[in-house]
Amino acid sequence: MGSFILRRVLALIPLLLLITFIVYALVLVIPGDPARTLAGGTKATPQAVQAMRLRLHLNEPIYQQYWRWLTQALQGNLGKPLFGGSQTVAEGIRTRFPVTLSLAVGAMFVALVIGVPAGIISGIRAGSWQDRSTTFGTSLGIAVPDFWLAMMLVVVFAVKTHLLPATGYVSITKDPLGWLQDMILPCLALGVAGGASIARQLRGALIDVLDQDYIRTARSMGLKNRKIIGVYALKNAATPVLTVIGLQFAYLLGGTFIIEQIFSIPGLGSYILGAIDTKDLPVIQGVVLVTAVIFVFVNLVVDISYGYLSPKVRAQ
Amino acid sequence: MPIPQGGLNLPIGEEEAHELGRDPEKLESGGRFWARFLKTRSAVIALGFITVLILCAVFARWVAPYPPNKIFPQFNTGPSSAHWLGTDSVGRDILSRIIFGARVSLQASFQIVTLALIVALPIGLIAGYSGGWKDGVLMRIMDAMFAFPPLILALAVASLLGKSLFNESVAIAIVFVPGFVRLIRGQVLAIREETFIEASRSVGASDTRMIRKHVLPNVASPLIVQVALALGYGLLAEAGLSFLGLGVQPPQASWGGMLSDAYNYIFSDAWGLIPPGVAIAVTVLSFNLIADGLRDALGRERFREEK
Amino acid sequence: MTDAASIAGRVPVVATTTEPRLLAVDSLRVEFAGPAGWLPVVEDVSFTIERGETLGIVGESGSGKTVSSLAVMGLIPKGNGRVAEGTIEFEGRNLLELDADAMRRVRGDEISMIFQEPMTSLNPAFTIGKQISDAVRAHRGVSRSAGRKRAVEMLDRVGIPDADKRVDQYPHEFSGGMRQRAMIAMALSCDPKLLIADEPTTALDVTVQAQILDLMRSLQEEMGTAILFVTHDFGVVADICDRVAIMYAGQIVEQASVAAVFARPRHPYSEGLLVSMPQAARAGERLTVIPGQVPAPGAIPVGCRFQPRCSYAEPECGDVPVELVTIADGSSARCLRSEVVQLRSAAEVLSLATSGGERGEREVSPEPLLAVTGLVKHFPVGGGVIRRAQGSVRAVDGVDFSISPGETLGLVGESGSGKSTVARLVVGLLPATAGSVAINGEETLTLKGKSMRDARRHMQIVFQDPYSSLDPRATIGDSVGEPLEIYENLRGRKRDERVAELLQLVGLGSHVLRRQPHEFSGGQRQRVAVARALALEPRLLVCDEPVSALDVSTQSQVINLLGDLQERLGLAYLFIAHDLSVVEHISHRIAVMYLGRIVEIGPADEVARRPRHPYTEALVSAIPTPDPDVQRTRKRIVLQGDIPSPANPPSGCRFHTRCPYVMDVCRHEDPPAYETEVGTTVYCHLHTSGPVLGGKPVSLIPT
Repeated sequence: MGSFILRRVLALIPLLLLITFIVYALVLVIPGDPARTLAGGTKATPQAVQAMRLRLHLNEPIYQQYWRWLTQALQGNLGKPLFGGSQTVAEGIRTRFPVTLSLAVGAMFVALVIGVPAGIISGIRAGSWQDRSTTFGTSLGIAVPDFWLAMMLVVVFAVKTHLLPATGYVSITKDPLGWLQDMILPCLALGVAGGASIARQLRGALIDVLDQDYIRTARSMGLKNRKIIGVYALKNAATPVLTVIGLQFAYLLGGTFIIEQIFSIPGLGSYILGAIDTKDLPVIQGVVLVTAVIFVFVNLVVDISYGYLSPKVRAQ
Repeated sequence: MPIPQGGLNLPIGEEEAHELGRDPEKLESGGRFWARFLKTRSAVIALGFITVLILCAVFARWVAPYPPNKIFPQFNTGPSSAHWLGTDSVGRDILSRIIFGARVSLQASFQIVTLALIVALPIGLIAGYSGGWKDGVLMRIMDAMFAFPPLILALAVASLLGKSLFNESVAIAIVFVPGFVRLIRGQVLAIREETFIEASRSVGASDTRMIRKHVLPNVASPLIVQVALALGYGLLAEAGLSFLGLGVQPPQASWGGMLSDAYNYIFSDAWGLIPPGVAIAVTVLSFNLIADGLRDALGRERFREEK
Repeated sequence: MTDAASIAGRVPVVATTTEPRLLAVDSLRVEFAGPAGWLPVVEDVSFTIERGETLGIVGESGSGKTVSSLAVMGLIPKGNGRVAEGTIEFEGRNLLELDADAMRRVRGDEISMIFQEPMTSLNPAFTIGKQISDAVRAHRGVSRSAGRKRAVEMLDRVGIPDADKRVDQYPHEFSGGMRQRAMIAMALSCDPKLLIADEPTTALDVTVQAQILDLMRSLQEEMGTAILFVTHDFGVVADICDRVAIMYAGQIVEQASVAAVFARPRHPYSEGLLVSMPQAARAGERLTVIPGQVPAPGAIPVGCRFQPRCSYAEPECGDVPVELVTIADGSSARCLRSEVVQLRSAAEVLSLATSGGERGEREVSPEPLLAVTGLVKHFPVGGGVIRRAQGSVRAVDGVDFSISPGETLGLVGESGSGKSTVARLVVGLLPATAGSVAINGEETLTLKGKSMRDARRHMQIVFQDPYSSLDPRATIGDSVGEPLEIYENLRGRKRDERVAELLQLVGLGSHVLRRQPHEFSGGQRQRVAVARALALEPRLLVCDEPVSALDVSTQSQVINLLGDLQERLGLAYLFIAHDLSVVEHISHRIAVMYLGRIVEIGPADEVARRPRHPYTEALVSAIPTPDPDVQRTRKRIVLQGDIPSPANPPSGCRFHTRCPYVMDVCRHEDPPAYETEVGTTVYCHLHTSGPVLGGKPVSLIPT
């Protein structure tokens, strides 16, 4: 197991390098002369454009730019925002990151609480009315936009009934109860779609696994149904579901950005959205890089759990 | 979702297949595929809905009761006989804006999927069919692209490209590419293992012939399922980005944009949130139901659900 | 101990009046959901099993044999299957009346089951030991450690070496044969009174099958377990069963003691199964075939279900359903004419085959059509984009043979022998690592582009799996016409005319041109594959296990087709199979492969009847003969252990790890080729060193 984990970690190095390259390559996406566009487009004065060019070293060849940016990023220096504030991008991310992460983790919790039981119920009774209604619910769950669900929750629980606060955020260290109240609606809004996806995947995996020869063997040996489903089937069905959980995490991370906007939560989402209109390149690159790296590590955890669940994977 | 269909479970087929160690439904011919698709009621209804929606979008000018930007004196009203779905914060007819917004949403999702496929199909075919180092390099790049949370990458690209419907579609399409590539490559790898590919090679078929005559037709059907799903997800993503103001610019109507407008009045007049939200949800649901119907028709769990 | 003694003597224990029968199935009817309601798949099936007895249920695919055994276990999938009628009494209790939990307690404890696919029947996510231990603990409520102890004990008992270590391994660390042993260990871990074995050896190599059958026999003697043995193989029935029930289209058509069935079959289908075996015809002659196919559950004939295919049928056979009637000495048959028609016994049928092989005189041309020399194929193992390969699988490691025009060379071997790799190397589907493949004297391995394609015309290949060898989305016309489009640029009507001729040639009408593969049975698809291979008028056809995925009756149809085509078109065949009896029937010469090398090659009769290599001898002896008298008296050699991995083949003679006659020299030195007077070449030290055999058959070595 130890060498298995080590191999997986080592395999990340080239992947992370490629990711940094793609992140830096975002500069190539900017149409026309990046310096002019970033300095404000046609309205920008030649001096401003030149200043922008020098500031971002856009006059250098792209590989030099990348190298400079990479070596700085490795030291935790992601530059300064082009516009406004003296706070560096790294600081900006550091203060907002915990907020976004807690939102994503909370939403994942909601997703699992909804998805796992729903998936098991419909998976072991495929074709029954329980299955059909759950499946319809999950179809709806993935079709409803999470930000719309968020707004509807606000309407129902905050505007109409005043059960929960509509917007706002307090840090968990200041007011744990208030934090919890603030987090309930956003996490719910985000988690429903994830839960629906997990349920559908788990259902499919369970139906697949329950159809396998080794389940028939377990039945033929007279094992109890609870054991067959809860241990023999579930451990095998967990592998494909884990993939989806990993992917869902990425979606949740992305989803938080709009949700934060709706609930006025000061996370990474509000940070990057504030940078969109001005095309504030360092902020955009910084946030994209950090979220990608988080996602890579989430997937590492998923990979390692594969090894735990499947002895064959471990051996390879 | 793979609900076992009564007719497929004849033990004779299963026993025969069991003895050969194969799934008889694994590869299907075209005719039975559509016959079975038409038996899934929900999928057929969904297909009907999408067809009607497309027609409405194409002929919006004749279908919609009013021009989308015509301003009436009553604003933020609920449904009435003059305005079936009410009016928005400026006093525009919501139903008309929904119908014109369908244009944007559908155009975006078809644009997204087409762009993604144009890029992904050759990459997936090359990676899966030729294997070796080409496969290795292409798939490592796809892995790296897959490592970005999709919405965030799309957001970054769309904002740097500049606000327009096409740029937004390009941004979302980029995010869709690695998923399509993985699916296509996986299917090609599976088909490459089939004996009929070897058989074809043994009678001298060239690589181009093999891909054209044998690989593509067999990749097509699982790909159609993924396309249907992607149309739905594309529409969702487009709505999200327009909600943030990245898609078509006001005053042009789009479902996401309408939600963004209505959001400003969430504490006073929440009605405006309902029509665009329901429109998005029902359309995405329809695409998903079509995908489910196609998947069922294709046979059991041919491939895993990947969002 | 009287039980054990009587089992050893193969006399079924007679049920006493005080003790109820072990198993009595009566009027069983099982239905499955079809598009238009419930369809019977098993109908009016009744049989009994006594303590310690082995009942064989024989039938082809779709006969309902597996469904019947699943019904006994209560494992008919709910929702799309149901037991509609009948009783299943086990020691006097009707199992069908038990509630789910009571039935669960019977399963695994009193009745247990082993399945066909050892590779997929064990849970990949848990150790072998945990799975056996869980089974024991489900019924005995013992502690974890006691469960594990029992697992070790059982694994040891089924002959798994180092059982106390291997108990903690996962299924993927076990070979196929070992997994089936582990399955048996699990099934017997609670001392069941009845073991249901559903084709337990079908997926295994012959030499491993012999081991498993031996193991089951000896465990049965030790433990007194009754066995319900489901199989399609009459040879296995003759080997292991006391009584047999033959199933056709969901019904039992004949039931009798094994001796009686083979001495005088009472149902034409039973005779049909016997006579269509390749052992039942003289080499080179046509096999007797049962025409047509097993009817689908929705399309069962009204009267006798076998009547449309029966050569003894009279008009009245088709009128009313036929009952199973007791005839004599406990035999029963579902045939109106069983008293009238005198069917042939196994001995009669087999004697036809042995009375002088008449393989047709061939003119041996001095120039071979195909000459293969020093053929080598190594596959790299491990490694990826960056990492270098860590070793290689020596799939084919120096193979020489030649084939004359119009000749059939049979290539036999078990898994890992490299026989299928040879097929692909010969037709150029795989690049060879070294060696030469010459057709008509022209070297093909170095050819490229157009000249390669031209050379390919002369050699075509037919594959094993008829289900995947045709593109499911292409029509039959497209599949068969593909080579014509590529080589002769024939399109449209011209192509279709040629395709129609080809389809006629293989016995399919030209009307199938526009149909798709899923509309055809396995045998028919294999005919289509042959038609495609013949499109370019090749002179050599490489057949890679062309009949091993087919049922006995279909198999004989395809073998006859290949024989006819050879006669009409003067084709040469490289015929590859794991089944020596099929190969012996169709081949002029036979080559036997083991771990990438040919160990013996020569005239078919000599190799198959008087083997000069110990491996060939073991292979011949491992094939059960469909005649209990012969099968139970003949000398049998059961090889020990598994076939070693071709990634790490043994030094010296590759067979030395399993050879019963192994000498010291075998471990270090490659055996030299030895040419015998009868034209056999054999690679074995027995002929050149030690007690020198000098070209005589191995059977002459005193035991």
